Amino acid sequence: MSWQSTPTWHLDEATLRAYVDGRPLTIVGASVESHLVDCPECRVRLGELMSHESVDQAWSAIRAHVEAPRPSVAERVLRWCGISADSARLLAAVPAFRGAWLLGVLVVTVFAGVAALFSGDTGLTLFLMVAPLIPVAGVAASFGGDADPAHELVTVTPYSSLRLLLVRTLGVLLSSLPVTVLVGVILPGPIWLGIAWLTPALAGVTLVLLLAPILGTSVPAAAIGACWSLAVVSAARMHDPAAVVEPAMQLVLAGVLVVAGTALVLRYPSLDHLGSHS
Amino acid sequence: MATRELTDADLIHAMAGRDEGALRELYDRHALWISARLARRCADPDAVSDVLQDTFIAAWDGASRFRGDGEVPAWLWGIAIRRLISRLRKRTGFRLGPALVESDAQDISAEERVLLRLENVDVGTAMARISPELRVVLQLTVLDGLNTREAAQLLGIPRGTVKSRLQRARVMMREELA
Repeated sequence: MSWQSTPTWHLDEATLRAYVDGRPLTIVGASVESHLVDCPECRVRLGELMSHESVDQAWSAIRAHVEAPRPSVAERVLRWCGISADSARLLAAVPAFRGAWLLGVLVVTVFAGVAALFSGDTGLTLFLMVAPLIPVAGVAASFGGDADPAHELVTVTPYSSLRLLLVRTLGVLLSSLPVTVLVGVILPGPIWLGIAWLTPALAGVTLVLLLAPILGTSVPAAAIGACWSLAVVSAARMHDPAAVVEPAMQLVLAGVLVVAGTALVLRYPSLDHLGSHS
Repeated sequence: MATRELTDADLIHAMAGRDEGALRELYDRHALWISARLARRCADPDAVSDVLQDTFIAAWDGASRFRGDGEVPAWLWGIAIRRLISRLRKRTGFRLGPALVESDAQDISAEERVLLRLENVDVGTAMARISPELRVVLQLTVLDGLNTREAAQLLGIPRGTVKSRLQRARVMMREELA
């Protein structure tokens, strides 16, 4: 440090004290300031004359900023889309929104899609079986206590449970639907087949949410999965796997969706106990 | 780590590597004088405290952009004065600190005369003689390194007024120093 142009003279205490009190005229103050910028010694002596209280308080705010975790990429993208900070944090904490889940969805869907492309009816059976169950499994995982690191936090947070439910379900659907729709649309056969599985998917999700306060999320999701798989396999045995999503079935499934959805909205206060059974 | 041995520039480089200890040391070295200098320009203690926070948060976030060619105190002050301006711009009715109030009191004490003589006496006495509103503009542009737009924002006067005052101040200083 000795080579630096540290001044050879120093400010006396009276001048420093007057400076802290805001007393010297502009011109002398300016002179003090240009000296302080160059002189570490006088900066220290100035500090000794000052109250440290407000500076110490300011430090705690700085430390809070420095130590705050940086929002994850998903969270920042959500914030950028105009979603509030709270909701973004909740969405990003949905287990189904994480990388491993997304990768799993991608692999399963692409596998089923490729199978459908190359092996006709068997592949189509597989796709129809898997596609509607992905969102169902996603919702089940999002509200099960074991899969959610924010579960304890969520159960004690004074936040509208219906809103939380909808926000997180939306997160699951947003993270799993686009890929599945894309794969469905490029499948051989009529274009409606690619999106026909949406009705059973939504009916399944609604049923899981409805039953969750009584049975938890894993049991209904497993039961729905079993029933759906059975239906698809039976249809395939009768030489047309697409029969499970034909217009008549669509009507039945839409009926289930409407009834379950209505029941869900009517009894949503009991959703406070959501996930406490798993 | 023996942070006392490190130069300010070393601390900034350590901060670029997310070293919180380096930030703390930099804060200990510089927060007080920056706070005092801000307080002379803004009479609201809460605003001074906020600007101090903003300054060191900006230094932390921008540590990797620090070019080693400048002095750290000047760099920090450059951040602080601009943070002060952007804060003052957002709200009206703030009070300027003593250094920016155009006071006419000209009684320079004996000690202050000594100080002025030590520090470039000619410019000092010349500045003491020009009118206060010109002196304030000169101080913000020459000593704080602000441009005329920033000085205008800080003082809450039109940019054209700052420019014309600066012009007059230069003429007067030239006459005083001739």
